[in-house]
Amino acid sequence: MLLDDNARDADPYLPTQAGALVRRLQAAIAELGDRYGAVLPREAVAEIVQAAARIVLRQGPTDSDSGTVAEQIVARAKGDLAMAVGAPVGDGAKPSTSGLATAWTYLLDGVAVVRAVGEFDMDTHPILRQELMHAVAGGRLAILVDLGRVSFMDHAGLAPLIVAAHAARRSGQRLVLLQVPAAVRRLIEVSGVAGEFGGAPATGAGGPAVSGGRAG
Amino acid sequence: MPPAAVQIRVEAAHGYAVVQAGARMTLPDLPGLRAAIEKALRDLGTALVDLTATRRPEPIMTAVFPAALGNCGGWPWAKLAIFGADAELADLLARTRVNQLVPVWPTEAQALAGIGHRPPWVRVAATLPYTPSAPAGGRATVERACLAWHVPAHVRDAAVLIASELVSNVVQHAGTGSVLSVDRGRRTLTVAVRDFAPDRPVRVLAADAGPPFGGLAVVAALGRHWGVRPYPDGKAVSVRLPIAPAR
Repeated sequence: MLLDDNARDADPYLPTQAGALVRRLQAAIAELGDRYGAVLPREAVAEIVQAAARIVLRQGPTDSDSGTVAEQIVARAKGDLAMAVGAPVGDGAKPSTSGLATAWTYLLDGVAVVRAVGEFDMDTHPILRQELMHAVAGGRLAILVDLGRVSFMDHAGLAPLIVAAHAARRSGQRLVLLQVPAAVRRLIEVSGVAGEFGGAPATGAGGPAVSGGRAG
Repeated sequence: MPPAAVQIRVEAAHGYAVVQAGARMTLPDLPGLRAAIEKALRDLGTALVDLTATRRPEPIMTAVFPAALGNCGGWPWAKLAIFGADAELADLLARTRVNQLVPVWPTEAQALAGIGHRPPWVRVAATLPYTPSAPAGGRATVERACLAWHVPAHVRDAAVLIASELVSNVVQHAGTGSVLSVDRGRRTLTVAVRDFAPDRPVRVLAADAGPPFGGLAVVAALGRHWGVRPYPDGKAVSVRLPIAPAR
């Protein structure tokens, strides 16, 4: 599944909930930040929590009282954050860096979050592969891969995502791409691997939809 | 004592130099002409070539101007124009298309006034090493050029991706360094990557070779107009993209 701005806007359930929820989560983050100091970049934590909230909201029971749902998410996020900040699992808080790229894995309660930042190509793809394999090995139900800060990706950089999606599927996990930049979405389309990530993504505005590009 | 074949007049206050070519520019004079143009471009960024005195040039002379411009980084990092060419020389510059890369004007004042406008054809090239970081170098070259030339963002993104894939392919399969060039014409942007592996067959992207694989599938999907040019010591793969407003 690819979650992006288009998909979020198309969901009538999220916009009403998201604002209040994000404010509550940010308050929780501020509290945790004061308590634990800047072990995790605060901005990064905010993005993780928002991403996690989106996932939970999309899968949550829509007939529940929205306030209760929000409280549950805040409580859960606080627990996740305390765990991530206080006791990083494995090398969770330590980024892998190579040249123009960095990647982190956070193993949280129920989900693993991989953040990729920078340019991923034949030079830097090993660190993404390493972090993704670490996340898959963590055995969480969902692996959220946040691509929001990926400034470039080519076929060599995409390969670890395809490999990790296979590995996740084999072990009954779901690999979800979050905040997919338009250029990466287009790469996924022209590479003909949209199916690896759970279905055809929404076509981004601007780029011509090129499908079946592998035909000779 | 006869006048030197090439003289330089520096207009330091105005930030440019005029390179005055001599009356007879024969083959042995051309390295000196090229060196003078490159020195002016490197020192001041802007050079005008005065061909007023030049008569009956050898055709190969026209190759000096694009070569010097390319060696100094291309427009807008190096700005070069020609003025004072007689009818024969102007015709030669037009037939060789040199005037597309290096604008040709009647007078120095006109050449100077037009120097800030992008020529119809602009070109940048970079030599890339045989290392895993070569694709990043190629991308930086393409991105920098596209930004300077006001190439629309969607074309720029495609060109950067194509450059990355083509250079990666050279590093992985040819196993040599490469030369990347990017050209902007009036309606097209062309990315070309040349390798130096003479013994590798040109199997990639050939119409009868079956579907391309890996990164080259991405190239084929993004650029419908591509070509392979063999060289004695390697090959060049080029991809042409139309420059049209985003839909």
